[in-house]
Amino acid sequence: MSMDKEDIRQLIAQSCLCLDEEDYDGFLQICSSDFTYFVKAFSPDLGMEMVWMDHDHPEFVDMCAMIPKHVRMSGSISRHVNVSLITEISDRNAKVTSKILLVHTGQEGTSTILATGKYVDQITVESNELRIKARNVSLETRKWNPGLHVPI
Amino acid sequence: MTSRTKQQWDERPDLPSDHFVSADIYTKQDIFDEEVTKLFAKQWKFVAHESELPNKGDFRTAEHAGKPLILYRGQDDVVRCFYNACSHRGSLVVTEPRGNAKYLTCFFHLWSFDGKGACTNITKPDGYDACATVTKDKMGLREVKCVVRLGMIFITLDDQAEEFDDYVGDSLNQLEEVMGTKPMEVFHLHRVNMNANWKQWQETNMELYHEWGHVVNRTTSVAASGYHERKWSIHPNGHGWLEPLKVDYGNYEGWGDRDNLLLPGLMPAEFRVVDLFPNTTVIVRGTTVRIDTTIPIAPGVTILEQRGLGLKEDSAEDRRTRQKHHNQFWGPLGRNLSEDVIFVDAVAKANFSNTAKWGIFARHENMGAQDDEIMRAYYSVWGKWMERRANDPYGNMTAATE
Repeated sequence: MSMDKEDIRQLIAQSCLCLDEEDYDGFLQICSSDFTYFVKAFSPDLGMEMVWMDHDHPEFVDMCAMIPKHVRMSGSISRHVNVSLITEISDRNAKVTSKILLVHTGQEGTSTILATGKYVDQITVESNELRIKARNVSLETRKWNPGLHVPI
Repeated sequence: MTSRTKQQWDERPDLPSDHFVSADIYTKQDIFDEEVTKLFAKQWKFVAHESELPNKGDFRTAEHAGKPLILYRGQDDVVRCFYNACSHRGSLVVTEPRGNAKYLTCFFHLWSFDGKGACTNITKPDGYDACATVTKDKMGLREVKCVVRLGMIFITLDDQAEEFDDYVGDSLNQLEEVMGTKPMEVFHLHRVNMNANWKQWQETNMELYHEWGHVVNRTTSVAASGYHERKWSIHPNGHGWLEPLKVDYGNYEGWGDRDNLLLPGLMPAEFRVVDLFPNTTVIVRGTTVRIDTTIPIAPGVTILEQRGLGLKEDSAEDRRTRQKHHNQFWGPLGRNLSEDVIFVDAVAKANFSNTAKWGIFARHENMGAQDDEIMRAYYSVWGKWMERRANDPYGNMTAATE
């Protein structure tokens, strides 16, 4: 299977829709079996990158399974994504950089920008299907209220 | 009777006077303003960790009691604190959160200051020849009292404040070996906007009855052997600390134990907490340390500043593990800290709408983990500094009801 850019765009979009719906089974179905998930943000105060989340596939699965048991910010989150750059590395691997905007809509209907940053996704082919092998989230936003239990 | 009328709801709780507080202490602007002058301008306050200024010439900015501050490690390797205000026109001297410079030079008229706060340059000084008091030796920065203990930098704006070691007493003893044996390093700093009063955040670090509300605390801590047997120790200045606990991290699905990479002096998975009046808490979880403090902005606006620490000597792999442990509980995507913010915001919403007029701190558990005595002691000290009672800050209650 070759790396088709439109297929890759569809994959990224699908991943966001799954996360918006909190359909983590659906999200994991489009991830590879060795999927990794990483969130970082640069701290101007410390002059270094901060790691905010660092999960392998089993850890990510466990985290998602526990989400319903937590006290969470009410409302919904939508991920607005713009696939900015697709770099085809080989027939079976690609790197995709996307700008993201997370918008939170409260139960009363007010929408506010929650976070901005980018995804850097590694795409691979598994079982003859495109899969996300790694999602590295790089956040510009560092001041939150109150924080998230869900993947960005 | 299963519910109450407005009169019944609003009336003074039928409890001893130190077993409840009035929501006015959270919501009223005049009380907040008084806290700035009577508490924050007087008390010792954690502002940063020394690892944030590791080298000579490193500086950091901070804010306390509404005042912009500079922390600056001089060429003599001593960390000092100054008002972030030029002695000339009052401009901010430093406008970046951090940096390194042998001298701090104000960007407005290029006056410079060294690590001891002395003025080292007045641009074109001959213009002041007619003014004998505008000379370098008289134009130093305003220095703020500053000490470093266990790597933590504390400051007070009050030149007459009691010495820091007298102020904290033995409150830091539980941290002595953990944080004082090997150099530590801050690897995480994030801030949270809260629509709540600063004290409501501090309460989450003392009123541990709320741990039932967190699934992660409920399963790993409250369910752990010995949780309720630990005793609070309370210092007369309002500080408090709890005897250690071995947390069962494996009780939370997907989490492992914390038996390795222990910080000095700790048993596996050991938990410690030290609260420093008025608004700083240090929490130890076996492999990592959290320091949190708040920046009060308004009665209902508070910025929480949260740091995570590991050992400076950490290998990349060890640091990764510590970060993971830190983030599980306390990161912006963690399982615990976000929930505390949600709890606090929910209480504040009812307080600020004048819906809930009282907060009850009436638990007695023989000084155990969920005993409210730490809260009662905290508000007793708050009352002394504020010259107000937390349950009746405006003195509205009659002697009879009191």
